[in-house]
Amino acid sequence: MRIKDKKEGLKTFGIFALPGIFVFVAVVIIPFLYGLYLTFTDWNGISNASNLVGFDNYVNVFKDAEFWKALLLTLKYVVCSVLFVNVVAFFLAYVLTSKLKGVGFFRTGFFTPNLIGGVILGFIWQFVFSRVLVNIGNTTGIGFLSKSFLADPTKAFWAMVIVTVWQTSGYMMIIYIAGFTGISSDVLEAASIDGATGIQKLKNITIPLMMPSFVICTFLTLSRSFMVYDLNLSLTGGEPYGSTIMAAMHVYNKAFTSRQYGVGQAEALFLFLMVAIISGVQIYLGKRKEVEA
Amino acid sequence: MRKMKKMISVLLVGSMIMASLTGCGKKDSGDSSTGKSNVAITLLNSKGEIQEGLETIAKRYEAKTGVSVEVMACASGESPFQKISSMYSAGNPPTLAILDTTDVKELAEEKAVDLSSEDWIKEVEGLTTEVNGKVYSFPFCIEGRGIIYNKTAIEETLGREFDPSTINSYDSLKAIFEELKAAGMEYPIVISKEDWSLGAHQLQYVYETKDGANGWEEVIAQLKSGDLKLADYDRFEQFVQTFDLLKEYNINNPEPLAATYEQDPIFLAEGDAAFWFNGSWAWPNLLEAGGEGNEYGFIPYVLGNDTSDFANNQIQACASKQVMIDKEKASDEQIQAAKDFLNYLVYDEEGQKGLVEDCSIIPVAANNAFEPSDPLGQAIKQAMSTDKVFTAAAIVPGDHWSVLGAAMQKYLAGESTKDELEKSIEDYWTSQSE
Amino acid sequence: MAKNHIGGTKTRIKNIGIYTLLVLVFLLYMFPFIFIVINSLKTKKEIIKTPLKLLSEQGLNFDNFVKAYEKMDFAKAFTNSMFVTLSATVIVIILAAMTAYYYVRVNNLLSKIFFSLMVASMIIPFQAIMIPLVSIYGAKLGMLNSRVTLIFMHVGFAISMSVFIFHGFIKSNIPIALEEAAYIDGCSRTKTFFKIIFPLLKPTTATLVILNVLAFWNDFLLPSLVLTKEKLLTLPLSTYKFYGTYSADLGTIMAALVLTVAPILILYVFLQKYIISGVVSGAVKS
Repeated sequence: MRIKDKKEGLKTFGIFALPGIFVFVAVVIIPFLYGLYLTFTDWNGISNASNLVGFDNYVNVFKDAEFWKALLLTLKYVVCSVLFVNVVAFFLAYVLTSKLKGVGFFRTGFFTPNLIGGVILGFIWQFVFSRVLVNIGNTTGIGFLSKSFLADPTKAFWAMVIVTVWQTSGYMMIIYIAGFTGISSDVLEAASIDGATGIQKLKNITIPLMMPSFVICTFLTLSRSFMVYDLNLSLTGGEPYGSTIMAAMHVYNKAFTSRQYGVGQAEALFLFLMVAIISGVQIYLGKRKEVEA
Repeated sequence: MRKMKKMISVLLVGSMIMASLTGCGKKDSGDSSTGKSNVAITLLNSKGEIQEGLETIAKRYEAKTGVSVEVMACASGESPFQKISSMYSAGNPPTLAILDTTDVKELAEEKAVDLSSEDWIKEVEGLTTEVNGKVYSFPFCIEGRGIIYNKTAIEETLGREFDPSTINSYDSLKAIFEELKAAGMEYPIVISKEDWSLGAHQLQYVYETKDGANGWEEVIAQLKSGDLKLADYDRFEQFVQTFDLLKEYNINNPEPLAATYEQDPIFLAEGDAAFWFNGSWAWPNLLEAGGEGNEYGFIPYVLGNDTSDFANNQIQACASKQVMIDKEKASDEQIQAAKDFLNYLVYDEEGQKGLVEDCSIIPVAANNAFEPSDPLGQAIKQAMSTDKVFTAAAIVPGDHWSVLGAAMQKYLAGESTKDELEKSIEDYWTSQSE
Repeated sequence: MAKNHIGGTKTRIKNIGIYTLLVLVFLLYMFPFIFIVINSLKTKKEIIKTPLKLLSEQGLNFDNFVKAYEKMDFAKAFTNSMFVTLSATVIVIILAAMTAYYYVRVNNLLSKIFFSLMVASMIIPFQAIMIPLVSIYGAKLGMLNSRVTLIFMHVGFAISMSVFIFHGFIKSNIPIALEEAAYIDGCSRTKTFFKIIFPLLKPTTATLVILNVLAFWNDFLLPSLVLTKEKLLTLPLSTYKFYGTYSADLGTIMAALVLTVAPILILYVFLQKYIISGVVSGAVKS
């Protein structure tokens, strides 16, 4: 796309980028800025009256010990889920783009967890963790399983990670599959002729060419796990005794259960900034490694 | 350039098709009210289990008066306060909203129509919620809570008659637990681990049993200011004593937090346990668990050993949901229609019947003569008519159940001591005074 | 060459191993779905007491489906969902592909700024803009309770991720040489994009269609804020009423879920082959 003059440049911008940018700004940026403004008020989320309170809400964020506790737990959760989701998704995609019979069938199967959301998912897994596994544990005598995962803070945390991997890996798998199919088979064939083994091909050709998919999937898992809310609510509900409340759930509770809208909003913003910085660094590092294909 | 024009025209045509499609959609959603009147009101329902019943009532009401009442549900997991907040923010509040008392109190003066001079006030005497001397809400239903017993199971286990009125002290509850245990029922009571059950329904006895009336206000005020230490408050001591007993005989032991609200009613319905701490709303759960063949009722949440103590002879029951009418966006016509609808529920036989039979609630209005069809509702209604209830209902901040529910769970699981529980409660209240 | 022969047997053994593993993992992933299907044919009591039993005692019992279909006004809700999902998906795919293409090819400061903004916006917690969003579009503009507004918002929220994914693939997989040739042949920019570039994006487009359709079809929170009129409700909203505060109508919920999920599953199976076909590698070769 070579642009000859300024007028043409504007026209190109107008056709290609403007519509998308307009919708984006109208729906995301403007409400976001308005939300930013609200963090400087004492609005309770419903009243007509509100006063400007300066940085009071932010001061309260720093005083809210529960928020920091939730944030730390979220960090732990993010690290675990990003790691496991991507490892599982990458290998599923790798296996399912090789010349095996019935790959379509398998792909559909691995993707199904994404079709079910919300409360019902929580119910099914609650049932699995509190009854099915306990049952298996009792009959087989595996002591580790015979106690409910959801009654213990550490195990409830791992239950969250397990369900996340189960749910998200199929989603990331199809992005990796799209990446794999984008790699020219000529390159791989040429490598085979030169005597490269499967592992060598994977390491020297596939993985470098897959960098864009890695960047995308890591970013998506990272941001999603930071924002995890639905699963948190439906699987553990923050229990046992509030020990599995993640950041987004804390923010929601702060705003609507404790009725401190401004503080909740400020905490959400803080969370956003933190994730922005972390994923900014991640994308920057990933892009640097990307090969010019 | 021509190609570009073509592109743009394609987009334009596309958006026009879309616009016309939605146009169609709007048209057929617009003229749905064709009755005598064209007033349409909306009702936000935060009580999921009566959604169907309310829709039935609304349909009947529209057929009768031509006023359409659209019943909007509030999803589970979605806090009613968030729902109403977002609806007000959107400039689109419901005409009528069924909310918890604490929410209504917060919104009343700014958003709700003053209902102090409505006729039905005299039918619900003593059960209204006042904000600075005015009534802004219609008390929607009575809910009672206590220890539900399965008489059939108890009698089968013990092989003797069981008279619930004999359970009127801590010692007598303990005695029957021990007797049941000796007869083979190792864990006679079900304690649900839900934070609303522990943090709101159980813990709130501490405030409400101060005197069974408005004494809770004083307790809470003193807790906020830090003047009252729980260690010096006899009701707290008694409460923990009773809770410890329930904890010891809980069927969900040894993992009380692994309990599920699906399994809990089955324990009671099938007679694996004889008691379940819960409220009158639990009937559908017992019914689904196949427990309709047993005889049920309530015993008080006993506190201490004074058998003449009201807390040991009465169960708690109060108006638990409130209906307010919006004054901010609703037109005068809609406000009138909403008031008429409430009058229909109180005075029209069809409306009265709808509340009791379609929604299976216990109506607050004393003039409603329809008998509740389920045993738990009947038990509450009967207790009310024989002066066996106290109506104190503490109004606590919106996060009380979740924050202190977590503290109670921790105590239930044996992960915290009584002192720690005490401290959590005291800290919670002192932080509210800021 | 003997090595090659052994390799053949090895491959076979390896394949059997891979298949066994795949089938196991497959069952694990399918489990909840199977769970829902078998339980959609049972009563609530049976679901709670014997959730793993394959068949209800009364045999095949479609009562839940009949009830769910009627109660959720399925036909109406299905039409609403379909309209919203399809329109939003088509719009978001076209706008995102064009925007991403612009960002890649005209890599000036403006592109960089908006691209970063879009990427950053993907990590805004929705709860943080939900109230401002409804107060702007509801109280100030009076645009709520319209399916077009919902489509507009869906597009706005989804465009970032779609741009991000298109951007990555265009940058690394679409050589600029292709379009240079087209320009020499006298094609306009839009024509070049739609005739040459867009078809090359097929695997990515198919992926994004699936991801976006899924997101729009299942979304609950945003539609619940925008649409409150009963006639406009989408499928997830119309299943509201099966959930109570103290109890949920499990059988009906399961049936409703099967009814809601089935169309997506069909779409997914159908679209898969476009992801597999690998159009890009073919085109790059030529």
